[in-house]
Amino acid sequence: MTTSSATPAVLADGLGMDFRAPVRPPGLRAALASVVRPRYRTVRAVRGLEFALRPGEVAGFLGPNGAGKTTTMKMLAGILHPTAGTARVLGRVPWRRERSLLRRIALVRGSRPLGGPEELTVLDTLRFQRLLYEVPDAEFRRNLAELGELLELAELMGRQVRALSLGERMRAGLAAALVHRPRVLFLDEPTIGLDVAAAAAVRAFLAGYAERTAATVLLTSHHMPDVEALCRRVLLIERGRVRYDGALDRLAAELAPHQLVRVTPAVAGATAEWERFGTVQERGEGGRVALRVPRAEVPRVVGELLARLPVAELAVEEPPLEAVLARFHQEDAE
Amino acid sequence: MHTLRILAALQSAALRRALAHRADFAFELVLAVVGGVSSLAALGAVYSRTRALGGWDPASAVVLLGTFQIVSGLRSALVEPNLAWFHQRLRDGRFDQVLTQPASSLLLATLGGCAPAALLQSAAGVLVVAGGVAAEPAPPSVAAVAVWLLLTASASAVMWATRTLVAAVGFWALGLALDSVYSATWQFGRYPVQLYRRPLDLVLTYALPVGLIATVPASALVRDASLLTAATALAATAALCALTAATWSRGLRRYTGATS
Amino acid sequence: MRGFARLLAVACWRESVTWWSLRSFLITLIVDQSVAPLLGLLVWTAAAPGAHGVTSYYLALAAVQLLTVSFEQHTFANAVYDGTFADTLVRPQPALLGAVATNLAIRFWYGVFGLPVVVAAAAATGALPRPAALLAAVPSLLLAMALRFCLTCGASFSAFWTQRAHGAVSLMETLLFLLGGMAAPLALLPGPGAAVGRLLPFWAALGAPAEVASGQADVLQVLPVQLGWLVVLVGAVALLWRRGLRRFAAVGG
Repeated sequence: MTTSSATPAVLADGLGMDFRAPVRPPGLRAALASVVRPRYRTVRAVRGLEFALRPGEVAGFLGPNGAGKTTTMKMLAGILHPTAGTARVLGRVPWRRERSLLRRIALVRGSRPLGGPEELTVLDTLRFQRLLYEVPDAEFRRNLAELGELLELAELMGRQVRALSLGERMRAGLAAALVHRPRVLFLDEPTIGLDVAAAAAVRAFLAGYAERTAATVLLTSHHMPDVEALCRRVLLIERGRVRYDGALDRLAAELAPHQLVRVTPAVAGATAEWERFGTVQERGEGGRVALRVPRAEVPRVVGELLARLPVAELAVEEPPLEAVLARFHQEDAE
Repeated sequence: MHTLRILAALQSAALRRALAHRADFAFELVLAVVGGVSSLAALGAVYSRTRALGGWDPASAVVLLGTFQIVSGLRSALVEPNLAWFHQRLRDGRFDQVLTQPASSLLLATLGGCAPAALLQSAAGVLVVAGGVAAEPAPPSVAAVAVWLLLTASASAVMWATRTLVAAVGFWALGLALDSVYSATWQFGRYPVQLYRRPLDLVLTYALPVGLIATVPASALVRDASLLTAATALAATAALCALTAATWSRGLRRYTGATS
Repeated sequence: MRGFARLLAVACWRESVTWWSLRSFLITLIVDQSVAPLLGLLVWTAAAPGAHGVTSYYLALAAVQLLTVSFEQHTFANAVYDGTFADTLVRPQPALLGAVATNLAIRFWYGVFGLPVVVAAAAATGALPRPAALLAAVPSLLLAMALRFCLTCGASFSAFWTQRAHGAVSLMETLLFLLGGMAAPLALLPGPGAAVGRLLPFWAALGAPAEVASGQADVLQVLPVQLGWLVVLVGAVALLWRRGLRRFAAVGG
């Protein structure tokens, strides 16, 4: 029943998920053929996934579309049965769907922020969650007061769900998902479709919530600001496997084969044949340039630059994470 | 107990929603009355040419029709709103939400919503049964009424179990929506199964439990309440419900969400 | 007019291909549509074993039902409710084109899948119609197709005013069931039922061609009633359509 801090809050052990999808080539003739002999291909959504999250850890779960992020989350939330391996959430097998486990976890999906009948008011929906998750009255009132303030729900409470904007829906959905104080929280694209201000508000709220309640959080997002604001650790998955598991600030170093060397010459207009040192990515005033240099070449290039040119300033930087991931996703798609 | 409280909350929410649309109720009332009258008229036309249908006299056949309407009303009010086009919910992932909730997914998914206005159909059915009983030469005994009530409740359970089984086919074959086939088979319940010729009557009695929907309860009220028949019907109902629960939990293992 | 025919042909082709990909669903729909005539057949052969031609009538009725049944409450009314109807108004083509094409495509596949079963049943029971009667039933069947479309479409136009178009159509179908020759062959209805029924649009849209095909009605007496109702219903549908569009433009979907 109790999970000591030594045991992981979330554990995936060789987790895999295959499913069969019918293959339907276009055209009437192919459609006719598929009646006689339906063809299937096995889609391996997730394979041999291994990772563990300590209690209270907040981790980002990154990867291109179709990498298996949502499938993994659904297995961990007890929705799907895996076809290989196993998992533990708070020490339980999630897809056994024991009530005692489901009452301590939550899955929030940005694409479906708030389920249930659309005609009910937000307050009705929250009260239903109290009943569903058996939250004691006093605790419900306390949590609701806190969430209501942080998410600015006061004026939403009496409104019907169907009349809410997407941002409002997400705020109400977060309140509904968190009113029972889950100890493990799965967040699937929590800011998808939100405008910049609403996304920032949700992000700030989530960061505060994770810190205050010490909940374990697994987050997927295509918005790098979400990941940067919330997670120190990231798991990058690619075609259903973990490709990188470690600190966020080392991800770029791990993935990007290049670094940026920024040079400001001491004498304006002192030209050099920059192309000999690397690819010019930016040119600035006073002859400043940013060179993309293969990681292994950086020490040699820096040495040569300093030896050959009057340099006022020189800096080596990691490329921006967003660009690295974009390139990674692109390569993965190819 | 917890699940029952949740179902009660869901039903009361649905009722509040329905009461907000009172025009719907009025319209549903018209539909229930027209549907009831038209079924009676169709039956009347048949009995204008014959005195007995499969051994059932007109008054008994009216009781059977009324019982059928009661169970049909319960189906439209309590079960169809949840299970109609269930495979769509499996395909687009709407079903996920049920699975994250800490309560029985079977009961939440099959009884979580309702369309209360359709209960008017059941109310009309009660009136039809009463009319049929009044036309009988002798009033039924208290015991017969009690057995009829018990068997009508068991017919409703059979309806829930079979409808859920048909919906659960979606776990194995997403492309196969048998909703229409279920509705088609359902229609055979409105006449006594003795009417159908061999082998159809045997199929409708033993292979598909259509006879349990109205023929068996109605015969308890207007013919003789055989204890053996009643006990068999209840045992069959219990077995069907157990089969449904087992099939459901096997089906959940096959669920792949919206990814496929 | 030629442009319209070409648009309709293309739309029908597209809809047919779409429905072919939904064929298992289509077959379950055909099963559903065949139940009412089958029940009528079973009940009436038990109730009036001596009645002449009940079997051939109900088999013909099953064929008529498959070739006339319309679903505008699903295709058209749902498009009004979910807002996609507004998109079709924007396109440079008649707004009902899609509904008509779907209607024809569904009937086509119903015929392809359903008619062989009906014919086999007729052959097995020795209830095959005489070729002359079958030929005479063709114009009556075509009129019934148009009438059924008008009835369903007209009832579905209630979607412009209310949320209950499905209820309106099911009300219309109840009348069709009772007075159209489904619950009982019109000749077997008690009292003045038969005489009144023959003058109503419900029989014209359903029972009439079946009676002609099974040799129980004279096509020359049936066609005038059908033509008369076609004029009335086309007028009513056109009127409802114009009013409905005005309403749609005023209040939106």
